[in-house]
Amino acid sequence: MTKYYLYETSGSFDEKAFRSALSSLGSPYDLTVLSPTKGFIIADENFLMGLGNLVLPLHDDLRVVITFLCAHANGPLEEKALKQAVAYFPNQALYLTDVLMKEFSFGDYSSLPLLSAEFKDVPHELLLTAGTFLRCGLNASLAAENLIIHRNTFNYRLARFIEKTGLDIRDYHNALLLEIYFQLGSHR
Amino acid sequence: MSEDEEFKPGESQRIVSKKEIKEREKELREEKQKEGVGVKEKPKDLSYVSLRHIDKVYDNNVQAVYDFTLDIKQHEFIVFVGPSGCGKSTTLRMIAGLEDISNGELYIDGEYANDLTPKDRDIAMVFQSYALYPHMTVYDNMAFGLKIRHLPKEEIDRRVHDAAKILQIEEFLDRKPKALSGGQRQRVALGRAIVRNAKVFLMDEPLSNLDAKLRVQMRSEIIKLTKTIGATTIYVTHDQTEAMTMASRIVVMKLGYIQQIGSPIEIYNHPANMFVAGFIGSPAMNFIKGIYDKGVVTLSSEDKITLPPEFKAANEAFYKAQVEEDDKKLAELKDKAAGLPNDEKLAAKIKELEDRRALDASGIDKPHEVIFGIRPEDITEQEKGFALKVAVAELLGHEYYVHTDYAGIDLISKIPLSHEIKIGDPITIGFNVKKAHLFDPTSEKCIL
Repeated sequence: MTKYYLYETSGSFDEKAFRSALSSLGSPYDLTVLSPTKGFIIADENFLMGLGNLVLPLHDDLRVVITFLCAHANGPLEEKALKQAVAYFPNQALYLTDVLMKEFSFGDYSSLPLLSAEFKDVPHELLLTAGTFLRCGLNASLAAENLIIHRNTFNYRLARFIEKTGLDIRDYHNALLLEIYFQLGSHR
Repeated sequence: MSEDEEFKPGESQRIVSKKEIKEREKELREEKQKEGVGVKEKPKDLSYVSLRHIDKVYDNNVQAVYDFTLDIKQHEFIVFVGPSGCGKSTTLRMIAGLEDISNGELYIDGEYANDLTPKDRDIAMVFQSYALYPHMTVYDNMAFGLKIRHLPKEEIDRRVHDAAKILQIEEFLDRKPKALSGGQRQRVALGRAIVRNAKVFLMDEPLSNLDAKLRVQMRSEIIKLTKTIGATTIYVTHDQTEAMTMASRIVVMKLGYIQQIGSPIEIYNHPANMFVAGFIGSPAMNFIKGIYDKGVVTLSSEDKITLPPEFKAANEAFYKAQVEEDDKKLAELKDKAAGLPNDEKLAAKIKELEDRRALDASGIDKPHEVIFGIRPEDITEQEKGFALKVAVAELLGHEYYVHTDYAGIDLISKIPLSHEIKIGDPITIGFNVKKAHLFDPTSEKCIL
């Protein structure tokens, strides 16, 4: 599963050394450098664990504070969350949902409109399918049964949801993001 | 808005972030330095690392460090010690350049360092969680930082092998961190710092992740290592044992303020206040409330302790100095109040200080409350003394830590192992009053 790993640093750094450190993880990745202090990496869903182990030695060698944010996309919600991550979680590798929940714990719900915007054009039928899938603990058979549809129909609708939103909710953190939307964002 | 633009109220303005303000201030400082305008003259009495009146205030107006001033000589091993949240790591990070300095000046080897990037400060850091690349060999972990600096391959190789020899990890150079023990990983982390030939080593609780036995071993290894390479070291820990055994000087911190700076023996024998007295030493100093009157302390147990003659002079001198300080502050506040006659808060402050002054004045020659401090090792078992009952007896092998209920506190004594001591046993103890301390209960400062 593809994930975006947005990053921001406290200052410019040696890009070659950065790539060398990323390569040492042994997993394929694609690095896009947007500016001397910002960029993103595209890699699989397990890449964050490796990044988490690199933060401190990179911090020591490159002499910058570096913050990584793992998300399913690279849009306005993720950009905002990265800014917050730099403020609240400097020198860490974390998930989009970590940042959102930290904001909510401070009573800051300013990200909810951006989160809601991710799902505003999704047909009701697909939202219902995705929501039922969450309710059934990511059990596809049980979800299909609850929706009184054939398993194949369920799979088809789930695939359309994933295609429409870019959010593969078979992944725990992606599912958590959708759950947050249903609980806090969907009534707005 | 640039400096040349005139502010016109009512016109819409771009909201400037605090980050932009800081960056602009830095630019202005650098421009002024180039022109030699308004540049503060470098102090003449600088040490190898000098911190002068350093504050750290975060964006949310929380202040983490207050007026931190310290001069560190070359080759010194300085330890910042204090409880969690006291500002020790924040101060270390300001020295490293990983946090901005809000106010004050930092000099490293005579150079003004506030605006130097971390890369340009010639500093090596060792962290609590080792900071190793998990998928690189020990050799590559130690060499990585040098490769970034584009050192020649032969130089890198020489430095890595020299450091590995000092640290006794030559046989591990081909291994990856997961194949090493905790102590070995920490040695590799030290190796990453050593190869840099940095001016200053900064260590942030490097032993906290190790078990107790390994911590003791690594403590002595770090001391030997820093002496061998002649490093100037600033070490942060919450463990007072590490501070006492490793430091040439200790800086005790609490809630962002320096409480005391001194050698381990100075801090231990002459603590500046109750916090330092209670924090340094294990088990902690016993504190008993009492009333002092002309060289005699009546403890809350009603027992009377006659103190050595030097206590009388020290008590008088202490409270005279307090009164002088109070008078100075009162004069300043009253001056301020003259211009602000309706300021109720100021009036309340003045009243509080006047009451305080009266209390301090009475301390000079009248009976007054004190806190009597005595360390566990200065309490001995004797034939004549205070007859108590053992509440808990902790055997450490060569001595007991004996707990007794005395004067409303859990009094802890260190009693050498000469006979078995059990819960409920009677025990008669006495205090070595020459080693006792008196503290003022309001300011918690040490009288003697």
